[in-house]
Amino acid sequence: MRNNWLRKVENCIESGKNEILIISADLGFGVFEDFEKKFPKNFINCGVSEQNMIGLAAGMALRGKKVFCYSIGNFPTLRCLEQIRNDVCYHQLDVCIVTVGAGFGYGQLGMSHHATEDLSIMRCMPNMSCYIPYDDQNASVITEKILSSKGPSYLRLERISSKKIGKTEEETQFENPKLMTERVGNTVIISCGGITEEAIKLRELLSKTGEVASVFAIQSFEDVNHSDMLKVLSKVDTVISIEENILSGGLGSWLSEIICAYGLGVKLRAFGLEGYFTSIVGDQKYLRKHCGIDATTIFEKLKQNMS
Amino acid sequence: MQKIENTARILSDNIRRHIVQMCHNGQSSHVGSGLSVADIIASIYSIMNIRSEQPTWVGRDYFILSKGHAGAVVYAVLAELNFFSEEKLKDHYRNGSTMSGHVSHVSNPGVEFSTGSLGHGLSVSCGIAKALKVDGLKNRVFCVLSDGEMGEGSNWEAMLFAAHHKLDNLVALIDRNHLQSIGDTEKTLALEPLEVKCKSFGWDTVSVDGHNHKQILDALNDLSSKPKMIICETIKGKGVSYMENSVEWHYKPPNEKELNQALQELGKKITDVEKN
Repeated sequence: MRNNWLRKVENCIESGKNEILIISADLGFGVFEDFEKKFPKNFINCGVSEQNMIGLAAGMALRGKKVFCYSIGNFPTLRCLEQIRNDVCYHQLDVCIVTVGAGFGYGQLGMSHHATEDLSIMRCMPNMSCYIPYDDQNASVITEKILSSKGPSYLRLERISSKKIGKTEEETQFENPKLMTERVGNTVIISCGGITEEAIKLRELLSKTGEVASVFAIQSFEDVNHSDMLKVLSKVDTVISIEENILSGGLGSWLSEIICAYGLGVKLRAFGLEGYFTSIVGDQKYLRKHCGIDATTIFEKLKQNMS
Repeated sequence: MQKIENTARILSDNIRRHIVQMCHNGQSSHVGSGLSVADIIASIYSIMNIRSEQPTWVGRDYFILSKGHAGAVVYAVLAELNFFSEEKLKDHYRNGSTMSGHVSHVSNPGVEFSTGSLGHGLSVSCGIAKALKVDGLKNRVFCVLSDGEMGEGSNWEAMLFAAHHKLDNLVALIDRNHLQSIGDTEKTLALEPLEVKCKSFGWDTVSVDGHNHKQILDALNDLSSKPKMIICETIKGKGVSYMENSVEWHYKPPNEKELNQALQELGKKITDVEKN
C-alpha cells in the first residue's frame, strides 16, 4: 500500500504539483531514498519529533503547501494529537497524516506499536477525513482522491501489501461503500481496511452452512453517501461489522449511529478489539485470531449465537 | 530608528490601555501576561511588513503568538493598526463573539494562527519559515513565547529543527517575566541558564530588556545567519503598579476601581511619552 501511495504522490509532483511535501518523523528506511533523490525539495526527515512534524506541516500548509506526514500508525496520531486537533483540523489545513502498520501490522513489536485506537480518535476530529484502503489498488484510488482535494485527512495503510481483494482488476473509481462480492442474502458483512479479507473469508464460511451474505468495504466514514449506506442497511436483517480497531468509536460504532439515527430495524453484530491491551507476541494474523477478529473465530461466535 | 522607537512606545501604551479595559469589560484573565508582553509585540509590529487593508497579502511577514493567553494584546495591536475597528475590541470574551481569550484567527483579520495550548507556535513558525525558504522568499517570521512555555518539549524539538535547517528568517522572542502559572519559573521547573541553552541549540541568542523598545528593535534588526532567539527580560503586569510581579493577575480581572487606577497610571505614561 505504501508504495502505491508514494507512486501516486510522485506522479502528481511530476505532473507539476510542486507544492507537495512529504515529512517523515525518521521512519521509512528503504522507502524514501529514491523519492528524496528525485525530489529533494519535496522531502524532509524532521527527526524523531512527531509534535514538531505536525506543527511544521501546519505552518507549511499555511503557505500553500500540501503536506503528507508519515510515520508508523501510533506515532503521528497519538503522540501529537493536540497538534492535529488545534493546528491542522481547527485551521482546516491541507495536511494528510499517513500511517503504516494499521492495527496489528507491527504486531510482534509489542503494544507500543499497535495502531488500534487511531481510527476512532482520528474519526472524531472535526474537519478530518479518514481513509482506510482495503488493498493496494484501493490505496492508489484513495491517494488520488486525497491529492485532488484539500483539507485535513488521515490515510491508514496496511504494513504488508494486501493481495487484491477488490472485485475487478482495474478499479479506478472511488466507491463508498464498495460492494466487494455479489449482492445477495439478508446478511451484510461490512468491513474497513486490510481486514476486509477476513470479511470475505467469513462470507465463504457462512455460505458453506447455507447462510448467504454480501460484503461491503467502507473506505471513509466522512466521505460516504448516506443514501447509499441506507440502501445497504435497509435491505438486510443482519449487519456484521469487522474492524482491526477498538470497538469504541470505530466502524461498529459508526454503523450503530447510522442504524439508530435512521431507526433501522436491523441487528448489528460488531466485531473489533474489545478494549484491552494485548501483551501477547504475534504477527498480524496471529493477533487477529488471538483477539477474536479473524474469520474463523467470528464464524464460531456467530454459530454459537445461532444455535 | 528614533521614529520607529516612538511608534513602538506609543503603540505599547495604547495596547496596555486597551487590554486592561478589555479584561475589565470581559472579566477575563491574563491581564498581567498582556502587560508583560506589550512592548515586545508593539516593537515587532513596528517593523513588520504587513498591510492592514490586505491582511493575507503574500508578501507579508508572519507573527505567531505562541503564548496564546495574551491574545488580547494581538487584538489590541491589530485594532491600533486598523486591521479592524477599536469598537470590535468590545467583543473580547463576549458571549456570541469570535474574540476568545486565547487568540483566534476566525473572523479576526490579521490574526495569523489560533493558539492557546502552549508549545504549538514555534513549530508552526518553523513550518512557515521553512516553506518560505523552499520557495526562495524573504518574508520574516516572528514568534513570541512565554518563559513557562519552555517547559513544553515541542519547543525544543522546533529549536533543533530551526537550527538544523538554518532558518535565518525566523525570530523567536521569549517573554521572560520569571512567573508561570503558579509561581516562580526557577522554583517550578528551572530554565536557567536559558541563554546558554538556546545558544547550545544553535540559535543566535541575545538577552534584552523586554520593556526597552530600542533594545528589542536593535535585536530584531540585527540579522543573523542562524535562527534568532531574543530573551526579553520583563515584568509581569508591567505598567500597573499593583499588578507588577504578581501571579494573581494571571487570573484576576480588574474591577472598576482597579481599572480606573490602572488607566490613570497608564494614561500618565502616554502623557510622558507625548511630552518627549
